[in-house]
Amino acid sequence: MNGLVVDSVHFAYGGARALEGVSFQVAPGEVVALLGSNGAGKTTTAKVTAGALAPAVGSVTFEGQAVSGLPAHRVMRRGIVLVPEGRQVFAQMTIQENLLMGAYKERRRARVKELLERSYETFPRLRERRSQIAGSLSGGEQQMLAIARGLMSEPRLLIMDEPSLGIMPKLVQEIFGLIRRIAGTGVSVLLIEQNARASLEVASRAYVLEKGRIILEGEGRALLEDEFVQNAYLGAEN
Amino acid sequence: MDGTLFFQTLVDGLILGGIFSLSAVGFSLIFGVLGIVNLAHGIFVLLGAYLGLALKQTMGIDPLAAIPIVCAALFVLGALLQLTLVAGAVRRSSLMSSLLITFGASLILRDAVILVFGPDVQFLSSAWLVDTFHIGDVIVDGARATGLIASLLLLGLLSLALYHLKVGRAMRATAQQDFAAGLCGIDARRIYAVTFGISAAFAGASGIIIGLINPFSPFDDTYWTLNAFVTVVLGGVGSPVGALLGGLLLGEISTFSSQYVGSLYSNVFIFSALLLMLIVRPNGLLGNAYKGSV
Ligand SMILES: Nc1ncnc2c1ncn2[C@@H]1O[C@H](COP(=O)(O)OP(=O)(O)OP(=O)(O)O)[C@@H](O)[C@H]1O
Ligand SMILES: [Mg+2]
Repeated sequence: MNGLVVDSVHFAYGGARALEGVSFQVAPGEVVALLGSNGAGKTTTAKVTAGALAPAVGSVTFEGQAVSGLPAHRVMRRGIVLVPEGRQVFAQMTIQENLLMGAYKERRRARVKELLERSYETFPRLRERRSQIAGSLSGGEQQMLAIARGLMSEPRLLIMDEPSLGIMPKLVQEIFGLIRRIAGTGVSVLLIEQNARASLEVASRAYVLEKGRIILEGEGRALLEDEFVQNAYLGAEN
Repeated sequence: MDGTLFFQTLVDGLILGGIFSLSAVGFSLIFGVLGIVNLAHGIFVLLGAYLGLALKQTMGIDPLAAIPIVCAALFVLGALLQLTLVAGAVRRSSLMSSLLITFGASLILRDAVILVFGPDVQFLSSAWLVDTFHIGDVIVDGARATGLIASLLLLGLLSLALYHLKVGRAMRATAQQDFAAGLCGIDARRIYAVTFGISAAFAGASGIIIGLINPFSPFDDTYWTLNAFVTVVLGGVGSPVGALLGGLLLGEISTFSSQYVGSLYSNVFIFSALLLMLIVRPNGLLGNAYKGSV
């Protein structure tokens, strides 16, 4: 397969097991959601996929090449970019500098300019405030900046770890709209979310992770109707 | 109060402060970017002076002209020290082990200096320096004035590099969010090595200037490490401007307390200022350039 293939990945923090044989795929251009309750191992999965953690057992393959074992700064050059949990913008740097960091690997200045222009077209609010420091943005705006920074790296697979966490509903809608648009440009998306309903609506397929194992997988719409998913992740809303 | 004496003291403090700033800026950078206290910093300063001496004695290179060579050599030394010894300590992110390792490195380097140059006091001199001159009634020594100008110039250069070059941006990004910096494609190990290299290079440049102004011996390294520490606490971590402010403050406190109270007491004033700063502004005048904690 051409996209991302994660194959029976195991990972432990010291002695504490976090992933116990996680396998899933993301096809090119596909949006896949990864659901699971707190502590299920979603962030760990994202980090292993992006190279920030090396799996003890198992492999990560992207576009036919193994990426597990490479450090994050090399994995991103292969086209996998992680927008991390908690945004992690460079708070003391300006918005423009944050975006430029996203294009760090790009050596052609003209291309960096184009990417910057494209970012500002997608996120007009960032253009207005480009010389302010990122720490002065609201949480939602920082999330937008983190996504924009990720897109500056020209990913072919974008992993987003809880982009809607702690963000007001209006901006959450905007973020999900944005995910649709990103997918529309042919970029694959692995979406990690607590907001199960909205993610199952944008995702073509989804996996449910519990205690380090994939316990369920299926089409996004089908999982929305699934009794177990409804009880476990959509319960409060029904 | 005697006006001329006051201005003389002010100018002396300024000059001393410029040197403190330059000698401390690398210490500040390493603390800001890697979060470790480099106890080998003072020996980097001294190595600059001794390297200048060696270049003059063996090849007849004027110490001022030797500054770029000394910077390059110390850059390599600093980067190697980081990659070989310090990297392990940083990876375990243990303050204690980084203190031990850099202290150990400083002892080894100091002994190496003694082995090569002997324990005696040495001097540097440059044919390029102008003589003493007067501004009004204030006497300015040529070497000291050159030192101040060189300090300001080098600090300005560093500031430009940090804020306008790609590598400077990468250093600041790594200092703030090393994880996110990695996700942006930055190899933190390389940035850490570069930071150590730059830090050592600036320390080396300051060593030449210090050697032109004062005699030096292999045992001065703790003095320069301590001064760097005080400068950073006063001025704030991570930025050349912070180092400049801290250094100038330290310089003025030293000269004024020596002049008006007695040189035996200048440490009392310096450490009182340090305590006061820790109480009033624990992150120094400018705060931490990377953490925004003021
Ligand atoms: N740095 C760490 N050291 C030790 N244990 C960790 C570490 N990070 C995560 N864990 C543990 O690994 C397990 C999986 O954590 P992970 O962060 O991947 O969960 P998550 O699904 O992302 O949770 P959340 O929804 O809260 O973000 C949890 O039991 C957690 O306590
Ligand atoms: Mg998580």
